[in-house]
Amino acid sequence: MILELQNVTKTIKGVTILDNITLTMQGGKVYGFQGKNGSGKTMLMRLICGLIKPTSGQVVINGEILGKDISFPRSVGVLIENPSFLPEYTAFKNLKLLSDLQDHLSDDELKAVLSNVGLDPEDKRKYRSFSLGMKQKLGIAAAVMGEPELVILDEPINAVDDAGVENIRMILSKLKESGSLIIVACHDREELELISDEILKIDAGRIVP
Amino acid sequence: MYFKYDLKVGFMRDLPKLLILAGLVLIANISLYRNAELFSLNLGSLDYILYLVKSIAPFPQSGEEFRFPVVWYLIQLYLAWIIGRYPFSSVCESALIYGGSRQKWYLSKVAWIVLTVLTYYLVMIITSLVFCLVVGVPISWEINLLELTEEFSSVALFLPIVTSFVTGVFQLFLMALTTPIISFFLVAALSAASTYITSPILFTNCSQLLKLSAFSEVGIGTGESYLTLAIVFLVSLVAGLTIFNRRDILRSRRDEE
Amino acid sequence: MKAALKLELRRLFSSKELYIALAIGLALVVWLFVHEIAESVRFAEEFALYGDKVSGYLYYPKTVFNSCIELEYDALPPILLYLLFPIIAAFPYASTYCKDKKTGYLKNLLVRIDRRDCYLSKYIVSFLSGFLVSGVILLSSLLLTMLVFPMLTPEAVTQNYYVQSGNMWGELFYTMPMIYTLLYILVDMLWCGCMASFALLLSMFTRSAFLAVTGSFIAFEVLDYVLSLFSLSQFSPITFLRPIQTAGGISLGIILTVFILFMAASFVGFYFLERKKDVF
Repeated sequence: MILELQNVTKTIKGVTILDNITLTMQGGKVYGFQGKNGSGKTMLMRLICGLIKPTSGQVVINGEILGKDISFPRSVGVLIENPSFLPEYTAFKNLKLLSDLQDHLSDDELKAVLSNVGLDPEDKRKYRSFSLGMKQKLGIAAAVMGEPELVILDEPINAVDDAGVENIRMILSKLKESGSLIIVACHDREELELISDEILKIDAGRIVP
Repeated sequence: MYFKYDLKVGFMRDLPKLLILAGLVLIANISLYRNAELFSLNLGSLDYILYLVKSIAPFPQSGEEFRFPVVWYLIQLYLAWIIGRYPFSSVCESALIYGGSRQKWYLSKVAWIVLTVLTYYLVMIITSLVFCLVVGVPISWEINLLELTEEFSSVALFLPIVTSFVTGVFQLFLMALTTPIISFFLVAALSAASTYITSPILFTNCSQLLKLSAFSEVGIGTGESYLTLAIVFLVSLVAGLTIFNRRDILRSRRDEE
Repeated sequence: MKAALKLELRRLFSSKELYIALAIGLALVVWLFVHEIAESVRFAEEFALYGDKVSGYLYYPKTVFNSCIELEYDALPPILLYLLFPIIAAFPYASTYCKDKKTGYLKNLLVRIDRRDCYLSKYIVSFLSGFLVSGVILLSSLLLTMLVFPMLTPEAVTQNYYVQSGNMWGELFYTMPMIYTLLYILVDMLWCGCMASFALLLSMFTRSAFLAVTGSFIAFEVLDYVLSLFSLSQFSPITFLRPIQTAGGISLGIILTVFILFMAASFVGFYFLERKKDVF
């Protein structure tokens, strides 16, 4: 997978959020986005996964222009801000619903994904009764199920316990080995350096050296 | 793929809400039954169904006094409420990225509206039929409640369903353009205005049987109604798709709904 | 309490919803104003041509008291305004509580402000939002109409006025119409505040602003319909909100009783029950 950002600028209500970003990223690597609050990390991630459109410039994924040739990357898993799930469903049922949209993973595969993030696949509790950390883990499970070629995780270790963080590291390492391109934003600098192959610093909507 | 999700999340989960509609229809049926007894009207089951969408004759052309058609309005309002609450809710939007296409996502919502509208009317028909069976109103397909004009054609009887579907697609377009609350408000205002002004431009007129030429000499023609609805449908669909294709999906917007 | 109230008021006045609701209401006011002027001009021209044969009734010019949005009975804008008042009143603020729950802002408030102050201030500001929005819309119509139309005392014999002398304050309307209009505007303002509070009550059960705002509107419409079936329209807020009094039997006692019932239900629900709920 090759992901290219070509002179991407995003302006919202006259404010430049992303400023002329040019960047190439390739599969089999973990890219860490580092930057202050409001620097444009989350907006850049939203842009890469097709949720927002660039004001100018383009995002090219494997030669296809995002928003023109494809609406969203063909194989993508995303965790940006608070994940949204159905409150009256269990973790497994929520995952199953989303998987039906994309990969049609088997029940066993879905249960394995849940176990990998540290959730009990047989847990009958509804999503509404989950703790913040459990919600976050389910968000990560949804993002990595089916081993997508592109994985975008915004603050994945928020509210996650130490064992959970260890699980996430292992999952990312496995995804990297299978050739996925992983983009992670994290406020914990040490953690980011630990999991990333390359750190990209973002400041005021620009990639800075 | 999106449709399967919409079926499970947007449709099946909302089915219990149709019980409120059934209750509303039942109340309207009881009211008509009381009046039929009072004025010795000989009504059949089809009359009970058509009563729900008959509304009022064109005002002021018909010469009748303006009386707000509450039954018709409530039925349209509740449908607009059901349609307004799902498509741009966070659970629905979160599925967007997994299906891979904005167009397919939007078209799936259109298909969901078709299914919702059909089920909505089915609930109305079944409730009325059950009511008729219970109270002993004959099950017949004769129309006694409304006077038929020379222009009557049975095709006109499907106009309320088609209009509701087109109104739903129009509401979806408004949601893409504004917010679910504002779009609901606009549809509520459009429906209310169409009870007062008879014109195909206010296309919700087409779902009010008494405003059609099939039932009123001064009503809107059936062909004209279908043509208007086709135009509104196409414009809403194309405009909605275009807007949604360009729309940024931002968290701040979701928090507002 | 003062700080909590100040915060909520600031939020109300900086919310775009308040201005959207006002814009919708004022658009209806202007629409009616233009319509009324066009009607008056048309009627004056016909009168100049044909004299009093133009109408079967005695000629009497249009006045403030059948041209403002409160008292005009034959045009679309007042029908729309009074029908949609529950949603116009609830739109500016009633959804705030849902948003606060959804975004987690409620937790932010509760750790800083006394729980009672927080809920009470939300309740008060919610009432105020409906009260103010309706007040601005209705008074604007009255003032705008007063710029152009004369304030002649209504003459029942002209049959240009919908208020019947047997209606609540009917005598007052035909003797001191401005007092009648202002009193009814006050009733409407109180009721719109009550409608906004009722929407706040619904927001107890949902995190969706859509459900809270539109749900109360549908509830008032359904109530209106059900009451009409039992010939009890005088008890329906949608009906007695209109100063032209489209149903018989409306009285101040009924208006106040229903008002107190709704206010008490929303206050008990929101202030006493919701306040005691756990916040996640």
